[in-house]
Amino acid sequence: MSAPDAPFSAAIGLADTPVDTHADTHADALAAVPFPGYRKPRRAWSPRGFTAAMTASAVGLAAGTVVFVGVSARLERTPGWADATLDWLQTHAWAEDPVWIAGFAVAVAGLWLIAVALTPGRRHLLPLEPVGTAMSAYMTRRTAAQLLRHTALSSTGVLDARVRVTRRRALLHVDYHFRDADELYDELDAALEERMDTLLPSRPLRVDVYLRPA
Amino acid sequence: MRRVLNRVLLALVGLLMLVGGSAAAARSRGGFHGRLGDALGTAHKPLITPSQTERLTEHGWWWWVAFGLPGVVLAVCVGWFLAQSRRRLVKALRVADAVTVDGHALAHAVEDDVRRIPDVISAQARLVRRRHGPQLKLAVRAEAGAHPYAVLRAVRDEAVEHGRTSVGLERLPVDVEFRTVRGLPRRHLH
Repeated sequence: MSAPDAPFSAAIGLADTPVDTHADTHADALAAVPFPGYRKPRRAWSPRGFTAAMTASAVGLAAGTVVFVGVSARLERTPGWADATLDWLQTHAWAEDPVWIAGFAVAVAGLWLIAVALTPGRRHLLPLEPVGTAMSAYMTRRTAAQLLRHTALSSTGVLDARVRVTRRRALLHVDYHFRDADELYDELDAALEERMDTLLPSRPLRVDVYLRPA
Repeated sequence: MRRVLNRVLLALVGLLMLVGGSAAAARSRGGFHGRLGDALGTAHKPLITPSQTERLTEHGWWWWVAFGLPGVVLAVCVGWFLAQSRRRLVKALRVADAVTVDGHALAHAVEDDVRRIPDVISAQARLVRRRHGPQLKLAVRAEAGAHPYAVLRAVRDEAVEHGRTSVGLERLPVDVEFRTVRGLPRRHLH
């Protein structure tokens, strides 16, 4: 599937999946596209700009305060609050509750920063199969949910549908009336699977449908 | 590059905080025993001892270490912070020896082309610098129920291709974020 010389249609598995007239055209188009430079799409990685800016501000502020206190002490013009802080540090022991609570909080914050540094972020974006070389495409999970919801709503007897899309699955809660539940389930299952294929997700989502009679 | 730098520095700060915070909490709960406990002191000692306070007022090498290091950290943090606000947009693109094209103009031209694609409501394009040349970042908002493949294909074949050939670039990588507006598609509204 991810072999470099595999045609794009084979890579995304659309050529054998006729959906509707609109999608058939696209499947044909896909089949006609040789795609030698195909690469499996990866998740979008966030630059972590906001977190970096906030961390730089916090650490810079702390370091700046230490430098300020050090220089003012050297000039023998220590501010009152610095003296008060020094007194507090001299009169309180390590065993006191605020110390271990602060230490624990700092450790948890550190763990969170490590997690932020090592994870891709941008969880709201689903990577899509690229339409051609030199193209990366993403879709928001909300958009995928809306498109699946529209598909569900187009079935006869469906009153409403609430959709939640995670990175691995799509969960639909469908309210219906005047339909046989099994028949509607089969119809929705097929329609949603087909729709899912046309959304071009790099990793096909598992679609779970829950029916509720109105 | 900025992404890698941010993540390395975040991991470094996180690691220092994790180790420092854990050590402080462990010492506070009397977690250090044996030689380590002797070296670090007991949990009933004050946070700063009088001897440490005296050292702070000394003007020897220790002072430079105690306050010079935070000075270096401060300088690094200022640079790190400023790096976040720097925009990496391509201002001008050299087309021929004496001809340059404004990067914004190219981005706007691509935007206009994308907006002409059926089902597309709005588009935002930015031409940013990357190691291997300019890259187009494109955010496309389409009608509810729009077909992603149709839109993406048109973006590539019409808008981006037009933009690429107009400035004579061999390659114009594009990063597209596709989303639809909220609401029902038109066919449901009739």
